[in-house]
Amino acid sequence: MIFEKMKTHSKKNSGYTLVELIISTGIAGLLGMGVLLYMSTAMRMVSRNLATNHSHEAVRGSVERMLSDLHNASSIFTLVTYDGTTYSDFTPSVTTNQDAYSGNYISTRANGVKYFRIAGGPYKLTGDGSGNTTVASNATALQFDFGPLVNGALPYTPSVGDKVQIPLISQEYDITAVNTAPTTSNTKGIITVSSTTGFTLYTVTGTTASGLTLTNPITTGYFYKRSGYTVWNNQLRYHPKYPPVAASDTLFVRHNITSPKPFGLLYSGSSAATPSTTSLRMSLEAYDTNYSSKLYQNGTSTLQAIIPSRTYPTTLTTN
Amino acid sequence: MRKQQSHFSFVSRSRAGFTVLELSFAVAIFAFFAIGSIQALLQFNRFASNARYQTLATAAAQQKIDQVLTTAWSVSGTRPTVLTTGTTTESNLPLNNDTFNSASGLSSAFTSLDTQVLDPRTTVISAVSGNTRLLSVAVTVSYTYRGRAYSITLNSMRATDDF
Repeated sequence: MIFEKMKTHSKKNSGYTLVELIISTGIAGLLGMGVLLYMSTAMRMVSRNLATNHSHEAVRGSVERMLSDLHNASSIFTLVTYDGTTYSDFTPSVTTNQDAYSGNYISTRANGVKYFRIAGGPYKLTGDGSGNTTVASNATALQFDFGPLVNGALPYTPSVGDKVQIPLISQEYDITAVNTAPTTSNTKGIITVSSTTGFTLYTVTGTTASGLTLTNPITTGYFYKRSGYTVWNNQLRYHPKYPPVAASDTLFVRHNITSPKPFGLLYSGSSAATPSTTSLRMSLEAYDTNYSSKLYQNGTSTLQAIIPSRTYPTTLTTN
Repeated sequence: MRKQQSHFSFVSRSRAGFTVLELSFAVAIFAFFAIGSIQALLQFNRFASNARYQTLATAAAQQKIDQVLTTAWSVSGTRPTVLTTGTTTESNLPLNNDTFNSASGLSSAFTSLDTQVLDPRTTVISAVSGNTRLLSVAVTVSYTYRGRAYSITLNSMRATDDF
């Protein structure tokens, strides 16, 4: 009986044998590796999908934004180049690359585009800024009323480089100086344009030199601002004012844009000298550059778009 | 003594490890779960891929609609080719990439990761009965993903620029 008791006590306090420990460690290791492999695979698949979604969202959002903006372009598109320091015009030439969607031939590509967009108007012409309500045909100064205020602010303020178009006489002028900027307390502003108006413009009731009586004549002007898009350093950037001068003239639209030169113009033939349409061809490629898994490589997203200006011929004849 | 034996037997049973059969069941259940969830994740990725293709197909259809809506068409002029009534089919349009982007100066470090999907685009332009200055247009972009056909159709109307 004592022997039995001692034996039992001894068995109860005995630990695992080395073999048992090795086998159990091996099984645990195998199971652990399996779990880790599963977790790793699952995480990589999820992150791959997220990365691809991210890059897809980058091109989709970019194109949505550009469709909205460029559709309303009031001029033809001009390709530009940005090298990190300088913005300059790019002279395109036709290539043998035929665009599958339009059948046209694509120009040499650039990393930027500029165009004019409508920025304000119609604003009422109120005189020549020197106290005369009649604008002489040789005048270069024009006074407009840039009101009314919208939410307590001027919706548009003219600046040098903008264009003003006067539909009544089908003329457009470059703004070369802003003599008097409009303010919220005085919405009338005076600008100097690049050439004489060429027409006598009446702004109040009166009689013309030829004896024609005008009652409350209204002459209006539309104002256009040069804007642009550039791709640089994997960023799609919008310039509400082109070329950008202040920091606020460059806005980041999307990151992860990896196509170095996404913009081109279209030609009807492979030997055509000038672009045949007012459309801009864009081929944006995006890749989530923060994604690092090499085992489960995610793909790039590329979205092609051909964006025509809203009107043809364009509202402005010059760019 | 019988009682003691019974006690020993109980202690011995509670200290026993899993049997091979139990372990096999456990591993099998885990494997089923792992394979099932991996399959589910793969399926999620396929759904996401297909959603992306649908977006691209919509963009391709939208591009044609834009072309139809913005091509100049004067009531007194000749109707442009793009507005000719009938059915036009364009084949092998690159849905999700641009082959020209592989050219030197146009490619990025990631361009080669793009897998091309080609699609046909069918444009049907029809005259509207009783109105010579109005057209209806339907653009359909089709593509095949994993052996299954998908299509996107956009409809619009086009009138002359002037009356």
